[in-house]
Amino acid sequence: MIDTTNTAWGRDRTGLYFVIELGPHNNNTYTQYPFGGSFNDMKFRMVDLAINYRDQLAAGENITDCAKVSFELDDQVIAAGGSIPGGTFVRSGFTNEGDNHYAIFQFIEVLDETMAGTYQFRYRVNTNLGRQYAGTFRIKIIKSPDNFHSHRDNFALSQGQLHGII
Amino acid sequence: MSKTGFLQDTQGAYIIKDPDATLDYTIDWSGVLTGADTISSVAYEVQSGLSMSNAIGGSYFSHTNTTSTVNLTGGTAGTIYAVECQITTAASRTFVRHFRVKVENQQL
Repeated sequence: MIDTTNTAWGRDRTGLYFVIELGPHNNNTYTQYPFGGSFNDMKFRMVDLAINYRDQLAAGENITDCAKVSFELDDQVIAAGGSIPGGTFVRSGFTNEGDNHYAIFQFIEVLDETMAGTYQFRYRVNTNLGRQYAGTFRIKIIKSPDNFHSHRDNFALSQGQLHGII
Repeated sequence: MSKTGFLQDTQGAYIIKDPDATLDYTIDWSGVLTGADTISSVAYEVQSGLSMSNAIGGSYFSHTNTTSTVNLTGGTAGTIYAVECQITTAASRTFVRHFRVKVENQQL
């Protein structure tokens, strides 16, 4: 059982989900860990969702790659390497630093309200021992009411901070 | 037999696998081996649609003195596959066991 206490993940009978809100966007600069770099004066927000594989990996086993398999909304299937309109899924990465073995998937908050919906995000994680783990979680893209602006400010990432770790 | 990670229903042991996962599945035979008897060879048969892989450790299956391991990949979500394992021991005993692999998209 994954402990989601004090994280931004939610759980229902199907499993875990993460909410990304549509709405007004500020001009902000975010540095995305572990990808490095920064994004200046752009009207979007980004989230890094990190899944910790530490407890599943054997001694000496490390993540060597992780990638999107598919990102689906209802019957709309986007194959590996593709992206939904608006580029909601940006890229994947990983870190084996210290005692953490995170597979990380980076999403961008989109501006297009037509993107609202619940998506199935399927991913794959490769390790140096040749194992290939796979899983699915959901992204709920919702339109934020105007009076929720202050909540959105709390949702912003700090520089160098992972968001939505499980 | 030890069934860590396996589940049990009225038909026997099964395990859930994601169609995009390639993982190794081990059976511990120490409960059926008598005295100092050990596994000398192993063979696996996998139902069509599910495949063995040599991506882990360079071989499709392997064994130790008391365990056997098969590396499985693929499968179609919503399908159940049968896997058969046969071991022969140093004392020329032969044991056969089956388990099922239920392939489904694994939700976090």
